Amino acid sequence: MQYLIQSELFSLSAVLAGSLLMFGAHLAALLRHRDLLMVVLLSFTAELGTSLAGYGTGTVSGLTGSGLHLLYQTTAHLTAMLALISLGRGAGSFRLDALTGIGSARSVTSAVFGFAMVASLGLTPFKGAISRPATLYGMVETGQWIPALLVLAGTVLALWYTLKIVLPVCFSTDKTISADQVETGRAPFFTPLALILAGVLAALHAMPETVVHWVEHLASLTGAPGHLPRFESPWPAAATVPYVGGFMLVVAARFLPRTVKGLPVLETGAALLSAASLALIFTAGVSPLSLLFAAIMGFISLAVIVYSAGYMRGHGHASRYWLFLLLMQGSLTGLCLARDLGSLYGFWELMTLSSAILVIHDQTGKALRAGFKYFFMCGAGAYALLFGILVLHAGTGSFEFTALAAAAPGLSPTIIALTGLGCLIGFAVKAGLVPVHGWLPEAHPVAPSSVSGPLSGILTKTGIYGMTLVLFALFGSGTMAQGAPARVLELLPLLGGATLLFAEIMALRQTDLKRMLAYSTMAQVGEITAVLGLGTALAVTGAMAHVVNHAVMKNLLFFGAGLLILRAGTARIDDLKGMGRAMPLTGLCMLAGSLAIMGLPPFGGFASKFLMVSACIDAGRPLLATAILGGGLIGVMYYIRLVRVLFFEKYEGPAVAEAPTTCLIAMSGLALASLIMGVQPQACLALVSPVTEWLVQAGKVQASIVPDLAVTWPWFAVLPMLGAAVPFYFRNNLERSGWGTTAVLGVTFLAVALSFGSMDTMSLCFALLVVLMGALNTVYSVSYMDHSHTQWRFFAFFLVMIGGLLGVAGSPDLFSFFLFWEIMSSWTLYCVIVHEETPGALREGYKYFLFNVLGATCMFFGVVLLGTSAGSFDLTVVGTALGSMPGAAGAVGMGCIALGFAMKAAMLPLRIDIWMHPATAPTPVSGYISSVLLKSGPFGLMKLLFVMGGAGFFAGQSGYWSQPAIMSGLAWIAGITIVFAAAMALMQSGLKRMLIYSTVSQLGYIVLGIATGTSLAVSAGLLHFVNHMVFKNLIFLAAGAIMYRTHADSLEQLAGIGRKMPVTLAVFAIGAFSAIGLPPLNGFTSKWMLYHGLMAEGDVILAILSLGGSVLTMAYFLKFLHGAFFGRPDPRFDTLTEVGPLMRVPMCILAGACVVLGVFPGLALMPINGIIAGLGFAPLEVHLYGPASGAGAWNATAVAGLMLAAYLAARGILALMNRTERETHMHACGVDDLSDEQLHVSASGLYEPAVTLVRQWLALPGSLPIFNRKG
Amino acid sequence: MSETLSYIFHLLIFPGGLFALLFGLLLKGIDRKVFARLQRRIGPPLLQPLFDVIKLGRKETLIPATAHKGMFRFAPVLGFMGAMVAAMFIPVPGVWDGAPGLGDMLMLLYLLPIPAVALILAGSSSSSPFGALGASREMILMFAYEIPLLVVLLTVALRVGYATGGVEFSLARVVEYQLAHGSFLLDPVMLPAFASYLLFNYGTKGSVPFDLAEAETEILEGPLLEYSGPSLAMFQLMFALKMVVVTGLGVVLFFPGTLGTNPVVNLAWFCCKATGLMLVAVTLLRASTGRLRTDQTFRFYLKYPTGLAYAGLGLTWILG
Repeated sequence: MQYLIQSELFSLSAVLAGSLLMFGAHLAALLRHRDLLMVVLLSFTAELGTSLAGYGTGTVSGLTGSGLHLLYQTTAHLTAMLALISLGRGAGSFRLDALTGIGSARSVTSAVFGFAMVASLGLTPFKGAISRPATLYGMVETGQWIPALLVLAGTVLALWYTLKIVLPVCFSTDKTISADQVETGRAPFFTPLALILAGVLAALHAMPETVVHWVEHLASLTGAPGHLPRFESPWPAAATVPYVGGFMLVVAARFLPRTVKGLPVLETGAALLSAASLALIFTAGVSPLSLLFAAIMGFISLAVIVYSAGYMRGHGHASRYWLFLLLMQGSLTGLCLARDLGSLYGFWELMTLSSAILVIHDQTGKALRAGFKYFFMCGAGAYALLFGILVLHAGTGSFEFTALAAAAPGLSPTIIALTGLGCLIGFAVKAGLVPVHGWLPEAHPVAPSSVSGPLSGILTKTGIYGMTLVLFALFGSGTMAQGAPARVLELLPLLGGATLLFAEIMALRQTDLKRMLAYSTMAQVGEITAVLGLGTALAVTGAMAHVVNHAVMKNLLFFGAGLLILRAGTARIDDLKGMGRAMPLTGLCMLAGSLAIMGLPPFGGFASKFLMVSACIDAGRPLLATAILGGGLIGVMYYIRLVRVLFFEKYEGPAVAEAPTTCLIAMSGLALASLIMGVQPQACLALVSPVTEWLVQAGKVQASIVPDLAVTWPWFAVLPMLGAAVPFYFRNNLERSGWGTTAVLGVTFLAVALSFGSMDTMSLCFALLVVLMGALNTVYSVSYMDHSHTQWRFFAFFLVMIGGLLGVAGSPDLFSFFLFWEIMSSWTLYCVIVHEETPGALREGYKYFLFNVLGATCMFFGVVLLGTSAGSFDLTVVGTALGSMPGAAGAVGMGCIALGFAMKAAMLPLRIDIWMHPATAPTPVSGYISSVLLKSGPFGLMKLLFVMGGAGFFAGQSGYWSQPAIMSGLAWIAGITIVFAAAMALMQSGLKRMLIYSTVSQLGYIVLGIATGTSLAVSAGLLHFVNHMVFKNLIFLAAGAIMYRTHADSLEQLAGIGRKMPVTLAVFAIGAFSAIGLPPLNGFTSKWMLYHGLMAEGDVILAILSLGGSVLTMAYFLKFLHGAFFGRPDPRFDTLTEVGPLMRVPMCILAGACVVLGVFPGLALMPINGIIAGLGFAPLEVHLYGPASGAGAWNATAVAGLMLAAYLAARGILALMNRTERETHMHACGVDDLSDEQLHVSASGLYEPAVTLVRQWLALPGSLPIFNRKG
Repeated sequence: MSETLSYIFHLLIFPGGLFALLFGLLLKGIDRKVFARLQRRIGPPLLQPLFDVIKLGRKETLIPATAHKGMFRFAPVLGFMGAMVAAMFIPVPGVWDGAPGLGDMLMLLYLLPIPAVALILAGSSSSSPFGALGASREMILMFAYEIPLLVVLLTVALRVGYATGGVEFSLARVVEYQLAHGSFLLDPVMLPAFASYLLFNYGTKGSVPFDLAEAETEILEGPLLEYSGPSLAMFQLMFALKMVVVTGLGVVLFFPGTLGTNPVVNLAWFCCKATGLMLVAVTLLRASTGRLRTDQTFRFYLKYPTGLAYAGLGLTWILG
């Protein structure tokens, strides 16, 4: 005996024969899996082969494994056979077809059959069997790789057919066999026998220690070398409690009524067990990495259980559901708390099994197919993982994390690479990385939403946990850095990036909500993996932070989606129209989740995305950063579509009930968590930074600077955001709601004024203007919005938007600046723009939103690049570090940010006609966007170029990025934009469309001034900044007044209403002449100074462009005046009246401001002079009447006085003349049968000859849609 | 205080106000007389334009019932006001420096269009389709001639500025420079600019062949069709002022030379030159051509005056 074992030849041949037999028999079983009897027999044969192979290895481990395997497999197959005979006799056949669905008739027997079959794979709900790992270990230990792989491959085959058999037999509901179709009593003793054996089998698995010891002892008696690895260590209490408790609960529930004292037994018990488990995690005393993941698992599991209490009410198979939910939590917690790889593997298998049962909970054919895919892929992946683990043990002799971490530096690269690869395959399957992602988009939609949530949110994260653990905590990035291991590590960014892009594109194409969310999960996990693969401390931090955030937000999304789908009865996104409003609380949670996952502040996803992009830049992988940002951009597209469908489409179904309370508790808890992590990103960072510190201290990961994500929330910015509650509180009353909003802005104004000193002058002035204009527009809206709907929503979002804008003004560092920028220009803006919910508004809002996000993405890249290169996000620190930045980092960073600002300021001549149309927004908002919000672009440019010192930086550069290239480029873009946009405005007949183009054109003057960068030009830019704010808001409000009264949106529909609306006409004329720049109104001084500034720099062409723009400005405003106010009055407007005082007063205030600022430009110029002096420019000599000396000097007050004198002179001359007046008919050459319409020269006809001519020259087809678009 | 009073004097009496009005009306008279002679007619008396204004002032005002009355009444006043302030900024070499402390030639660029804007508003508010057509044509014409004017002004500013190292927008300095260095009329570099300015003159004054906006035979004087009595008189006065501004600006920009230091002589010399410029730039062409169509005019202006102006600018830029 002893001789035989020690004979190498025997050993080799036994192992080889055994493994070949095993593989062959499994293959045969697979091919003949429709005949169940044959399958059981072949499978048993195969496992005998495994035993033989184990025996052949001749090591203690192999022998123990072999013996145990024989025991387990015999029991399992015997049980299966008995149960099968019982079933087969009942159904009259042993064919799979005949037995499919018998589970519904013979549930116990079929369950025993299934249990035994799965147990033969080494998987039971009680515990896995160690016999197969031990056998395999024997082979690996003796270096018999090929047989080991053969056995693994055979096991994969077995997994395949076992699932193919068990799932239909036990769970199928597509084809069911009713109890009366089954003959009972043909073999009465088989079932009890099988049950008894199953009990033995369960006991063998649940309490294997005695048997294992016994067999091991026997094996060691043979004197074989080696020893049995400690595959299992005692379970942590946090895992045992839900696990054992789950079984006890289900048993107890059988004997208890459904509810005890009003509390549902199962649900309450589960929640208590879950909470206990969560609490116990913190007593486990494990590494920070384990603790973090275990805490996430525990927290989310608790949320899932609370949610399920409401969601699963009324679903069938409650006991099974709750049991496996608790088992899943137990195995997840145990997996994360494990201190050795053996336990980790054991829990891994348990996790797969328990979650797979949950996935197929509904037992539909689709669910079974998806469940099969899930179980098979993850199970097969797990075998790869097992292989990796065993290889590692063979190299180190231990499974213990601490021992492995210590031994890692001395390991051979081959072992590391093999282990790494094996583990990576296992983890990648679970994480759903391309190309082993197939199960993920299948399993999510079919599982109950309460399971899809954790499936996405935390189960995929076990893959991330595994990768972090094995690659970094055990091996360390230093060990992984060279040779073969480095190639394994490099797989992470590669697979992650591929997954990210593939999944985002796939998600965009989905019509099923849950499928879309599933693909989105893939994408998020992909980016986490990609970043993780960079292996720096920052990368790990970023990845971990996103793990936390994604766990929270994706569960939130699935929970919400589940309820919406439940109530709507469909998962098609298009069929969920308006559901967010039909179920407002659920909808709100969905909204929070969607915003979070789009990476928009103030929700969690933003900060972690920021960290991840930083990590990419920091590690010198800008391409990866671009991929993440690009993927995010795609993500934004489909999530905003979801937001649109849920909230801004009409709901047409019957009234639906709001979600059950427990669901709401779970969802709001998650939403709150996401909000907190978004408002204080530092809090999220505090959760994950212990992990990184631990890794760094252990020398496993390179240290790197983790950026400070502390956000300063100035209270004047928080005030309006919180104040959004006021209009909501008064939601039933438009007036109170509007006045409440105005009051909030009033208080905000005080707050801004009181924080004098905490901001520089420029920011303070900007903030004050932001609030003032906001207050005017809200007063106006009180009247304007009375024809609209849900006004409170409009006011609330308006306030949040203003809050964001104020935050932008008050931010001392780039990170907070960008955070507020995102708040201001993304979702709040979108929600306000699409307020009217017309198809046009939704379409334009979507485009505008995307355009803004695109600009913000550019900025994102730039901000991260600069901040990472400078090591800080503080504006001044970045400014001083600019010069010493490596390579083109400074220039590219600044360029990207400048591009972002320029896009905000609409300075992109390319196709602005497509993007820049929030024309469909409510007019007070259009006005606000045009006059105030878009100014954040020039404001940002000022900060970038002059506060951060970009101007000096660009001037000092040489080479390709020399010049002030960016500045002069910007100036040229601005100059061209002025003329192009003005020409476009001239072509328009849409009331607001024309004004929007006008805004673009006028912003060109501002950007041109700033980009020219001399005292005079910058002052001119800033003065126009203020002037434009006043007159463009005025013009928009006047246009709004016309729309409010006439409901027209095009000049074509108007004629001669000036006499009916004299105040509107007067203020519009003042605004228009200000914009044209007729002295002494306010647009003149700024343009005047700008021309002088440009000419002083010798920028003649730019000066001509900007002056030419003025002529065009005059032309389009005269067209507006003629088309709307003058011309032949139309009888339709006979009953038209002037708008009410609430709209008149803000307009008159603005008109007054135009005149006052025009006559006394010093009012604005003096503070501006202070600002530019503070920025290091030579101040101008400025008086109240205007610039007093040098180029651009003029006396506005005196010229205004002279104009007045000339006016009086004209009046005087007229007074000397005959003052009688008589009304006559208009002269029409005697033709009196023409209608009013025929006598009116419409707005679009006004410049027809010129337009026709230009069109001919440029060979533009008349059908080109740029001419006279509506809106 | 005295400065304020002096400005008011310059605005109301000289060179704006009274002087400009009378001189403008006289110019109009000369124009009509010479025009008639060229057509072998006797023509009206030189002071006929003045008599016309007085006569109009004594008639009643007719306002169409459908007009926007406020704007209909305000338009002539607005135009008059703009032209009057503009006239004050024209220096009379050796007599008046054009109030350089208040503003410069860019100011004229903004004041000069005010009369045109007034005409547009007048046509638009009169509710007459002829008025609207006239307004439309006036605007198109403005596209056509504003850019050449702008470029010509920049050319002069650059030319003067090169001597002092920069650009010079002050008309007073333009005069000074030419008094020291000779008139731009004799400077070959400036010839394209001068030609362009001449063409601008035709356009801005709306005389044949570019009188699209009024075009009596087509649209019955367009914006002016519904005007009568004092309102029409105001427009006539506005035209008179504008004539002085445009011809005076031409003189200042291209041949502001003086005769000695006697202000009276210089004033007379200025008037002679302005008259001469008007005869060349308005009367001769008006008498010898017919009206062009709108598109022809537009095309003409976008080609020739604009092209010439840019050529002048380029020349100055290169040779300056």
